[in-house]
Amino acid sequence: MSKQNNPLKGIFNTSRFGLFVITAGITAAGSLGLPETSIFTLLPSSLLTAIDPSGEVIASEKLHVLLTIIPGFMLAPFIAFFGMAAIFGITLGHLVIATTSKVGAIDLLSPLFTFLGLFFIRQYKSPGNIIGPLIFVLLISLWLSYVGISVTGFNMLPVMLLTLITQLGIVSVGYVFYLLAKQLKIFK
Amino acid sequence: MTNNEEKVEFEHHVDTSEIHSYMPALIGLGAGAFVAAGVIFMLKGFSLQLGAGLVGLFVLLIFIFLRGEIPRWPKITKEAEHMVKAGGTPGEFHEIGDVGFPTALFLLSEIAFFGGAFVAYFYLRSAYAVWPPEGLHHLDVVIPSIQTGLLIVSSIMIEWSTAGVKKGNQTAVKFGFLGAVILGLGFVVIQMGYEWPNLLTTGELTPRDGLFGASFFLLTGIHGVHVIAGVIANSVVTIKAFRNQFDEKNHGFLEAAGTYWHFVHIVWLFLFAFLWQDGLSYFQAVA
Repeated sequence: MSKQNNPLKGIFNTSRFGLFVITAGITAAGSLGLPETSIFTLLPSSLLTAIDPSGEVIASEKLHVLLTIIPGFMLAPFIAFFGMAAIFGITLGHLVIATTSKVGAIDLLSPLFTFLGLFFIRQYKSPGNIIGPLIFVLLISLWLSYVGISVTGFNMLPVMLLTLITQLGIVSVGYVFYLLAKQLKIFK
Repeated sequence: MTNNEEKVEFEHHVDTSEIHSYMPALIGLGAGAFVAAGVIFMLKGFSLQLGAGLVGLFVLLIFIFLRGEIPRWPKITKEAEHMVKAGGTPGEFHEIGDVGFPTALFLLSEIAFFGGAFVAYFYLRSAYAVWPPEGLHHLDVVIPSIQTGLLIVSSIMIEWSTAGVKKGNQTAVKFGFLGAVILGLGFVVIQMGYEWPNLLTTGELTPRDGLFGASFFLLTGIHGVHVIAGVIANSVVTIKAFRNQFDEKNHGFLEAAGTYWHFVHIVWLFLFAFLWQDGLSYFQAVA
């Protein structure tokens, strides 16, 4: 194959591969290496009780696992800087995490929704890069809610609220860092 | 003779046609015949004549290789030395031709290698409802977490270096890969110098501790060998970088070494998930 007939020209290069690997590593390491932290341990008990008066959602071990925070999702708003390479990287990182999920094999489908959500961030990166992350949060929350309800059979509303709060929280933190990076012009 | 003068001499006077050879294909065929023979001999009741024939074919191909290829090695070595001394390999990675295609082929073979290793691991693991089997040591995640951090930072440093070489930033080129070498050495030291000896000497986990012990040391071992190879490659790049042998147009070898290192990093992520966190355990045997 000659240099002139290069089907990968402009599509695949070492910088993008490096970015793919770095984002995959950060996403995977954030969950595999750090202690698992569920949203249940972060929210005040009064708020948890208000969301789930029956207490069955709070007591569910599987939902504790499902609502574990994925620190790598803080990178989601940075898709505006990094593009497709980071989308694939974060998705792969999530796939690695999903292989260790205690929820079950259904969690292997979660990276698909991650990929879709991150793609929306790339599509709607201006103005302000707010619409994309919100769509990402919504997609992931809906999917995780479906998983939670399928696996446990609990009431839909508390599960949905908790998944939404989890994803909104972590992506918001990432968005703050994104704004900081944008202000400081770290990534051009 | 300066690097540029050697480079010009290489481009105009060295005959690169000798570098191309059909011998690798021949060796591949011979190796395939050898493995097929081994499989046949292990299967009871299968044709011994066929197995012996395949071994004979392997011996014949090796003889052809030795007779035809070895006399060419001094010339090929001289040409390769010219290429190393002349500076970075021309062409960028994403331009398939100089470095990209061979590197991609090599990585494909590595994917096949590790893929086979992982498939074998999961085949063995799928027979157990509890993994690691009862009575065996459960691995702590602190050490692999540190190792993962080292690999992430080393990948970032290589990215810095790769981006820098395209902009003529020689500082990034030099210290990016130097940092990657140091961090890679740190990874190897932690694994081979601390974790393995600790597990073996305390008896917490040894290769003799059934399939889990054997799998653990085999998989981390072959990955460790790949990390050592990556450290060596990165060291060569570092030495060449400090000799200012890379520039905006000539840095293919730098990119190839960096890409290989990123691949090693990716494999580690899966190792971490499968060995330490019992990844894909939901496909295990039912208790």
